Formats: sequence, C-alpha cells, structure tokens
Amino acid sequence: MTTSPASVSLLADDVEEDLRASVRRAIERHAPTERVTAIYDGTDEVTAPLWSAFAGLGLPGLLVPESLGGAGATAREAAAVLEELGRAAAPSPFLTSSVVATTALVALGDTEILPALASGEQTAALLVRPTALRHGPATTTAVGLPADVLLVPEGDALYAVRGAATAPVSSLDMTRPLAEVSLGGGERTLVSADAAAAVDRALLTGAGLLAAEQVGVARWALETTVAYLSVRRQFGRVVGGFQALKHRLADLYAEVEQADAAARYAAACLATDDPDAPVAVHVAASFCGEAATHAAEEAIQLHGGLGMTWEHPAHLHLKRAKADELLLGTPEAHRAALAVLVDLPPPVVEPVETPAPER
Amino acid sequence: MKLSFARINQELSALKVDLLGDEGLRYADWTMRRPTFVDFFGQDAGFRYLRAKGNSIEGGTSEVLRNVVAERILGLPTEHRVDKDVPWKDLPR
Repeated sequence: MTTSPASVSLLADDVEEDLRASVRRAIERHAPTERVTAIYDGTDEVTAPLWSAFAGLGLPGLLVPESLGGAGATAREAAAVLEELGRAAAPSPFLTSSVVATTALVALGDTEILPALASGEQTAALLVRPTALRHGPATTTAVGLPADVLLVPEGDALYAVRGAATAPVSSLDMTRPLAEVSLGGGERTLVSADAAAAVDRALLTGAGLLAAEQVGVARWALETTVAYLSVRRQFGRVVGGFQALKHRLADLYAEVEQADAAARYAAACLATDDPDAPVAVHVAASFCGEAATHAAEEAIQLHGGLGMTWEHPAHLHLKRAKADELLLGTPEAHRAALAVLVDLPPPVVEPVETPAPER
Repeated sequence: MKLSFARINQELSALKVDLLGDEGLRYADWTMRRPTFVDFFGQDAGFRYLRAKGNSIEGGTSEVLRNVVAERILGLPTEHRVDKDVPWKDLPR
C-alpha cells in the first residue's frame, strides 16, 4: 500500500526548492521579457538556447526512467519546472515532449525513442487536438511542433512518425506555437497496437501538470500587480491603499493559493499513481485554468494603460493564460469529466414539445 | 453605459474564444498595425478578446466610472481626498 497523497505534505522540500532555483536562473538568463516578446515579431532567440540549458540541467529526462538515461523523477518535480515556465511565459517543448509524449512512451515501455528525449537531443509531440482531453484521432493542427518524432494515434495503435512536414500556424499564444502537419512523407514505425490507455494517461498527466504552469502564470500576475500598486501614486496617494483594489487583490490571493493547492495535490497524486489522480487532475485543470486567466486579466486592468502596452509583459501572460485554459481540455470539459467521476447524474434531456401551429 | 459595455464586451469576446476551442487557439496575424478606424468586428476572436481588455481602461477606467456612479448618481459620500484644491506641485509624492 503506497502512501495516499492525502497524508503527504504538499509543501516544497529542499530538493524541489533547489530544482526550482536552477530552472528560474536558466529562464532568467535565456528568456528575458524583451526576447520573449520578440517571438511575436517573428524572432525566436529563446526556445533553442533555453532548451539547451534545460538539457544541461537534465530536465528533459525528468520523467524518463534512469535505465534509459533519465532522472526517474516524478510529476512533482516536473510541476516545479512548469510553474517556473509559466511564471516567465517562456516557450519550451517541456510540456509537450518531456511530459505528454514521454508519459505515453514510458507507459508503453518504449526503449527506442526515450533515450534521445531524455537527453534533450530530440523532442516528440503527441498528435492530438490541442484541446483534447482523451485519446482521439490524430489531427493536422497540434502544439509542440516542430518535433523530431510525432506520436500519431490511429485507432488504438500509436505510430512514431519521423520526417513529417510541418508548417507553423500563427497562434494566440506564440510562446506555445501551433503547426499544421502533413504525415505523407514521414517514416512510420509502430510503437504499440494497444496504446489508448497510455495516451489517456499522457493527456491526464499533461492536464494535471499544466495546472502547475497556470499557477506560475497566476502567481506572476498577482505578485507583479501587488508590487505595482504598492508604488503607483495617483490622486495624491498610493493606489494600492484604495479599499476597492485591496479587496480585489485579497480575493485574487485566495484564488491563487487555492489553485496552488489543487495543482500540488494533482501532481502528488500523479507522482504516486494514486487512484484519486483523475479527480485531482480534473479539479486542478478546471480551477487553475480559470484562475490564471482571471489573474492575468486583473494584472492588465490594475496596471491601467501600462498593462495594455507592448512593452509591459502582462500581455504575454494573458495570452499564455487564455491559450493554456483551452489546452488539454477546457475548464468545462474537465468539469464534465469530473461530474462523471463523482457520480453526478448526467443532464436529462427533456424532449421539447413543439406546439402545433394554430389553424 | 460604458461600464456595462466594457464588462459585456469582455465576457462575450472571451466566450467566443472558449466556444471556438481548437480554432480559438489560432491568431490571424501579429503584424503591428496602426488602425485609423475601429475595426473590432473585422478581426478574429483572439484579437477581439485581447482588444476588449482595453475597454475597461480607455476613456475612463471602470474603477473611476464606478466612483462617478456611486458619488454623482447614488449620492454616496466621497473618499477622503488629499489632492483636492491642492496644486499638483504641492501634492505629496
């Protein structure tokens, strides 16, 4: 009997704090705001150097077993990385390759593709609808591209495709680019004929850990806004002193703390493969997605005109939050899935009686 | 009116992005523009979502408008003000 997450401390330990600090240093060095903003103008000088730094820290292999060159770490460590990525709205294939694709391959017992993913030499992406919550047919538009290996579901089978042609698509959040893919010219190999459960597991893990990224976005928005309202003077006083604004920030603080708790619980459940994991993930995904968007929206509003400018990073976080909210299942989709798990009856569709036309 | 418009426009534009799902993650074009007329409705859902955020800031923030409604329409007392009838150069900064 493993320890249930209910009895596990959700507080960060020293290892997590050290990991978080190294990740934050790498991000501060390679993904400063101006360079992230430049991605919207078509110049990406962040993704590649940041990924090299991540590879140097062994982050791409966090979830890969040690026997395949990974760190054999758990979802909790991956969550810490994602929270830092969210905080900086930094672009990275970490979620799509090192979490989602890696989880699917680990569940299928792959030994061919994982070593290259663990070292960060190659990236992989699961080719499903960006908002997919469950295993489903492959799509032509996906996140996490370009990737060296595409994992393509076909029925219950999963194929690895290399060398497929991809074309970038302009996306609402350019720090997580979309691309169109055509599989025609690619070289296919079968990974598993029975992969539906592994793909579901990968998407569940992705959604649960995306919640940690959303907490990072929300925390950045809260802290930045509190700092600004503590110094911004207007009407002869510091505007953070106005009760109307103070109360909004107090509410936001409570919301972010709740989101943090939900995301940490989801990561802890995923880390120990707890039976409560699906419930924990759907709670975290539906709550944290909306919390991040709300926090980013409040950051824009409470920075006033400054928040609408291209020079202030608030817009990067708003776009990241809104796109993250839809990614790997909208809050509505997660709530619908949660309702089934907690035995809520499905909606009853009453036949609508159309009155006979009057003669 | 402006207070309500800002709220409704923000909620509607966000709902549109949500309802579009996968399509809502797309964005037509990030090229910088300086429009000389309001082209809100000719744009895609992502643009409208982002642009609508300005509705509660430009031309009087919703916070200031709420004060105006509370004080001028409802007749509630004002907050203590230290900057009234004081020249700007004499304000505490």
